[in-house]
Amino acid sequence: MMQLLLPLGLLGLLGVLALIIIYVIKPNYQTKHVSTTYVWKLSLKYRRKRLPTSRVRNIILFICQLLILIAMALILAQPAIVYNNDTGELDTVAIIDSSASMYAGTDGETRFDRAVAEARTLSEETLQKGGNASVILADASPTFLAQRVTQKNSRLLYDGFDAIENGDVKCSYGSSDVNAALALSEDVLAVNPSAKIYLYTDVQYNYIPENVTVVSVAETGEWNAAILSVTSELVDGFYAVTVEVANYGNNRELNVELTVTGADAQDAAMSGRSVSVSQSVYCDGDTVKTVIFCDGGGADSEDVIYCDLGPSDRFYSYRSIHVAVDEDDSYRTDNNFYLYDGQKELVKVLYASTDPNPFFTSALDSLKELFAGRWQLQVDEVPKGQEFPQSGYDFYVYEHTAPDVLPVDGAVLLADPDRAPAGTGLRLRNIKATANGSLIPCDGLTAHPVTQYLVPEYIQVSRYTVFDFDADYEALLTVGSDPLLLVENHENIKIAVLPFSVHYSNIALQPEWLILLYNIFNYFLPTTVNGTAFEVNEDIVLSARGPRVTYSDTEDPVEEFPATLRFSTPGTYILRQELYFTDKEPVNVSIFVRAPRAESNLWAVEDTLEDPYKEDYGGSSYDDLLVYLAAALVALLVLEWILHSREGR
Amino acid sequence: MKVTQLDDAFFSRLETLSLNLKSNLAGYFGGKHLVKTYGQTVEFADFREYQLGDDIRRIDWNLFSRFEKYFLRLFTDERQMQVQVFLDLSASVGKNDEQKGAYAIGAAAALGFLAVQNMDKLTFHLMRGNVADNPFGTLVGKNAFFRAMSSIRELEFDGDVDISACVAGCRDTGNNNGLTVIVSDFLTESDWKKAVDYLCYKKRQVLLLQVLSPEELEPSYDGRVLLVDAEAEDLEDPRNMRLRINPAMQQAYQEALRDLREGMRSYTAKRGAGYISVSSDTPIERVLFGELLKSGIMS
Repeated sequence: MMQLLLPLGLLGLLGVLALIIIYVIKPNYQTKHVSTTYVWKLSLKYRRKRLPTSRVRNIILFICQLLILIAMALILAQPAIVYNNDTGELDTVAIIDSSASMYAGTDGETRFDRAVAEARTLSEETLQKGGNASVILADASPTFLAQRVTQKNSRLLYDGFDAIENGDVKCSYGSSDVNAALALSEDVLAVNPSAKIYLYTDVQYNYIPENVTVVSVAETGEWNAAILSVTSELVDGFYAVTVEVANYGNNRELNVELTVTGADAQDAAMSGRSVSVSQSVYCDGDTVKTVIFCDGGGADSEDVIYCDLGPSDRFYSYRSIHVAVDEDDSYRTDNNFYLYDGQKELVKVLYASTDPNPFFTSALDSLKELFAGRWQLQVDEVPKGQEFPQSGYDFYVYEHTAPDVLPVDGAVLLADPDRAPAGTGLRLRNIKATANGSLIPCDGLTAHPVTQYLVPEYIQVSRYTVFDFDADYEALLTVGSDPLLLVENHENIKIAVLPFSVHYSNIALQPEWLILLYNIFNYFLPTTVNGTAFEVNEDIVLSARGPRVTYSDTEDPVEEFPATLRFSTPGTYILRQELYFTDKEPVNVSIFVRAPRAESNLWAVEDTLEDPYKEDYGGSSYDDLLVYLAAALVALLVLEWILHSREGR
Repeated sequence: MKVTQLDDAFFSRLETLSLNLKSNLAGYFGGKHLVKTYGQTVEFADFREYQLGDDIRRIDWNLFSRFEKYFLRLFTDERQMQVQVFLDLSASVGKNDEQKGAYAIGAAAALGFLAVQNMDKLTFHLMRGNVADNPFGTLVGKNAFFRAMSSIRELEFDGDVDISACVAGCRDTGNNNGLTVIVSDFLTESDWKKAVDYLCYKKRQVLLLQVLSPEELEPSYDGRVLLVDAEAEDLEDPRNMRLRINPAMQQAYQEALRDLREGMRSYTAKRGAGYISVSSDTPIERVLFGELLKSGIMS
């Protein structure tokens, strides 16, 4: 049935009246004095011969203008074919918040349990009334547990609830995307715009859309003592551990316990000692308090409390730090926090040069600082005249020389090599030098992780060695057709070649020098993961230094890199990184995955819920006719223009 | 109305021209036009057998010596013609368009000058309403012509004119004795054809000179226009017209005008009359030297 959505638009039909008046009155005639109208009168006879055609055209023109005005008035009135979508059916959509805070509870019953029970009750009542029941589980990616289930297929609904009760479907430890769940409910609203939406959650909202009912499943008296974050920092040679702690729901004294294992161990093989200290802190008003365990302590303030470790408990390295608040609160997931970044992997670097120079040594020292957060970089410089070691290092730097056979247990950087080592695929051709020792810039750069942030024009050389190379190499920097930087990275063959001396180049004086060495290290020795503490469902990017990475909780190794991992359960995970160099032990990296920090606040208040879209207009949907009217209007305008243009013919 | 072009320079340029009238006209004695009748000029015309009573001085003795019969040598005659110029003084000719009116007067004066230059009699008939006045009488000689010219410059155009009534009502139209020129725009409801028929009946040589303004030939206005006729008495006069002038209307106008002119040309040609239609922006000399020479009225 066609309806006008804006009937006032029909006032545009007054234009028809105006058109008729214009045609009746006609515009004023311009007076023209002529000698005689005799010929014009004769010409009327000639016009009259064509009058029938002209009159028909005028009538069509008038009708056309009339229809244009009517079409414009109708467009203003927004006509639409309205379908009555109000099915009269009872439809309910129960959205169960499945965020980590829903694990909070009292007497063994969690908020999630309450939400499921209430959703089940609602659904059963709906089915009993002959309606349709839908249930959405709102975790990070909301899904329908059951969609528009009726009494006939109610088994689908009960299977869903049974899966929750049996533990096959669990509340998540991450955050929930309630707005996405509301968007999902639009599937039901599209069928029945009068469907009622119930959100079972523990979050309070300042604004709730009209057709959404928020049912709080939080109970008075629930509270949570939480470790929000733990970080460690070396201060004056000893670690300071900063702990953020809060208590939500009531005010009380919390006892923060710090346990350090493997303290002051030289390496992973050593057990070290254990340190256990505790500090009480009074938490009130849902504010975050900071507790700093450090050597020497500090002056306490309202929100910062220091705990002096003293000479007996201070430590300069650790294997792990465990921070806990041992409270019988409503939400236990965030009562513990582990930190695993106290022991850096030892990476041994050999610098062998026939003419050691400060450019390399200072750059390697800088790298040691740069990589301090992930590695313990040990640089060994071979004294002049001594024989170069061929094994036992992770990274070999040979300058002005090269061994006959390259080491097989680490990456190699050949700087200004005087020969092509056997089996490397390199063949020394000749040495090129510019006239008068003038510098020429690099003129070619291949986009590559090793060349990122490099500006080739800034790297200039006056003398370099030309090598022929196999196809396994990539020439990343060139002068003309000659390579200035060659890289091969194939499993256990990791070679970078700089066929020029820093003495015949300006590179050591440019920022490009440190950037280049940093990129080469990063490329050959990537970090397995950036960080040791992550949140549930957070993307963890895995980089490879070997063929595979395995981790606890699964037997399936990761073999394609870079890979992205996501953990859905809080806890400690050990990533085992196998290395390409077969004689080297796999590297184990421990990471701690925790529930999102925001979930610790059991009485969180959020601003607004998004309003799910539904068809309006009294429970009806409509097909817009504007497109057809607009098309008709355009056609009429074209016709009117044609008639006008032909009027004079 | 001031006719500025009727000056000495204008008339001096016309002195080399003369009207070329039909030779079967009767005319009057003493003119310059050769006619078919035999007279006393020196221009040989024909021979004829001697008859009793003929002047024996005209006998051609050379022919007598050859044929032993008496033949007379005959000579052509020269006659004086009467040129009548009927000038339309209706408002449509010159009330709204001074150029057109001046042009009509100039053309009439030019033809009159040619007449008096050939020693012909000239009369100007000024047509107003149903009457053709002859205020200057019969003009013979340039002195009389130029006296008339001093008055003809001041003519005013007004009202409408019935050409046939004016011509038919003229008391001295003559008979087989000269040329009658009607100068008008011929854009009139009155039946000018009767005038032509009447003059032809009187065996007058007839020339219709139609003067049209450029705007009448190519109307430049369009849109919704109230056309006020110069001869209309007021705005309610039925001669006024409300028109929506568009390209189609203008085309119809051109067709009507073309047919009107072709009709005049055809009608006059059938009756041996001449017809010339000129635009008032065409110089009179070009009309005289061009159109009239082509039509054979002038030589």
